[in-house]
Amino acid sequence: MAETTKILPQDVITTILSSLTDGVIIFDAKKKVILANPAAMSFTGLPREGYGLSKFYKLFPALDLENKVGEAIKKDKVIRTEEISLANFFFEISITPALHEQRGSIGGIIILHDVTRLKELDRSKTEFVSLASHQLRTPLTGIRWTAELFLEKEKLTESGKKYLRDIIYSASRLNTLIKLMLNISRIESGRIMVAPEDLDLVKFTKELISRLQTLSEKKDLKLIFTNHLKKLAATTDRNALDYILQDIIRNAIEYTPQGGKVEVGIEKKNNAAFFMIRDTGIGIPKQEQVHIFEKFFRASNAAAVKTDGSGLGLYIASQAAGLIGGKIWFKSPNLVKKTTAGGDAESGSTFYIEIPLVAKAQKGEKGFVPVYLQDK
Amino acid sequence: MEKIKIVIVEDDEVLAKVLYTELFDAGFDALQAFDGESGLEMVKSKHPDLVLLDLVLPKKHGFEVLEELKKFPGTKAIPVIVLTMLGEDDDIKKGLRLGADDYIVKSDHPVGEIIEKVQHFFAKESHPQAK
Repeated sequence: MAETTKILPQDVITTILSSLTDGVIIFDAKKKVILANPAAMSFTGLPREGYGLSKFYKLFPALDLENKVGEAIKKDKVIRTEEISLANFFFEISITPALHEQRGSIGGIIILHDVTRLKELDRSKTEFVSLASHQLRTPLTGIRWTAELFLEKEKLTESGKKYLRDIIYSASRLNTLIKLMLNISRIESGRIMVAPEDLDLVKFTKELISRLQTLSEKKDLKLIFTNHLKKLAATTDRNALDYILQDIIRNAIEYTPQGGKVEVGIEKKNNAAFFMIRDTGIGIPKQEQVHIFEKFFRASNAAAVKTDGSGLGLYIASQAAGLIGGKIWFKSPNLVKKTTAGGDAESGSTFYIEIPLVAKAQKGEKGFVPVYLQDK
Repeated sequence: MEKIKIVIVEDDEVLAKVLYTELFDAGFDALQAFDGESGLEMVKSKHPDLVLLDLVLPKKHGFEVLEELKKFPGTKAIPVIVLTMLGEDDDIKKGLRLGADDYIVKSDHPVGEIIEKVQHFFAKESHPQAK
């Protein structure tokens, strides 16, 4: 059966375009505007038709729209820009090329999608999280300090002391969780500040490792820093890097059985610092590896070893790495050995972190909140 | 020997009470103010040896209190330790820039550590070469 296409009369098309709340600008092959709907006219302050697109480009100097329009037409694909503000509005702009079957490119359509309201909602969500984080931590500190006072000043039975220590530990964990949530909220809203400062990465890593020695000793593990560099100068965000290294080394310690080994190495590769954290731990199941950096995901064997993990650590670490221009990846298992029973015994994971020696600064409202994960 | 006098400016009653109890038990003469304005007045009138200053306070923000304390000739030499909650880098930097001697992120420390910091502060004060 032949398909028939009913062509809408022009006045109907114009009415539809006029009633759209998103701005629509239609341009011809010479990149001249042939029709802008009222929403577009009101957003841009430009007339309905008869001007070159360059007038429109000038409204968004940061976007390099001329190249984007060229690319959309050349590659015949829709191009979307990042969020951009104009007057009191926020927009996402998409450029759709119009390709005629016989005549080739006949121009295209620019859509100004008004995301102001979404942006406001997002902002109030972020503000709420910040406020809640601050307000929540005051009574939480009250709980912790009072429990500490109780533990110190009162005569208690051994089990009474244990209960109080559990209260203190839980309050500390909640405090850390709140800071993690705050960092997530800042990262996801895109308004986190990245403030690079000069650091010696060798000294920085050494100090971090010595902070984690107690934890590894408690587990009867060897935590070793393998390093051949005297110094490695970098300019990066201290709190973000501290979090990444701390989270990954801690995981290595947490998920390595007693008597095992965690090795931390650092090298310079061109203009990047390259960290390696190798453990003899439980490894990451193959089928779960793709999810390991997802928010709230916990590997099944990890959840069996440590029941109180949040599933936020690696997610934030990978986001934090992105913030300073770096990346994290891993290999697991390190070793596959034949066991005496004839099966395979797999062990260990190695995490790799690569960060540029000079991170780009990013303007924002607040920076990465320093997080010192708590020990029980 | 006269006791070392410390003014605690903290609006949360529970935190203030814990700090007060611990400082008192450690042998300090602790005084309490629950908002920025009365904290400022108390420091001016009592001339303590140290101020523990919260930042988010009713009536006057801790930073304003700090600024004014450092402006008045009568109070500018009194050391101030800022007690923050979030420990944001920019808050800490601002506190130090305005003349605070130290900062403590309340929620990150057991109260015992805070008292130790205060004791350590005076140990350093009495042996300036250790500074």
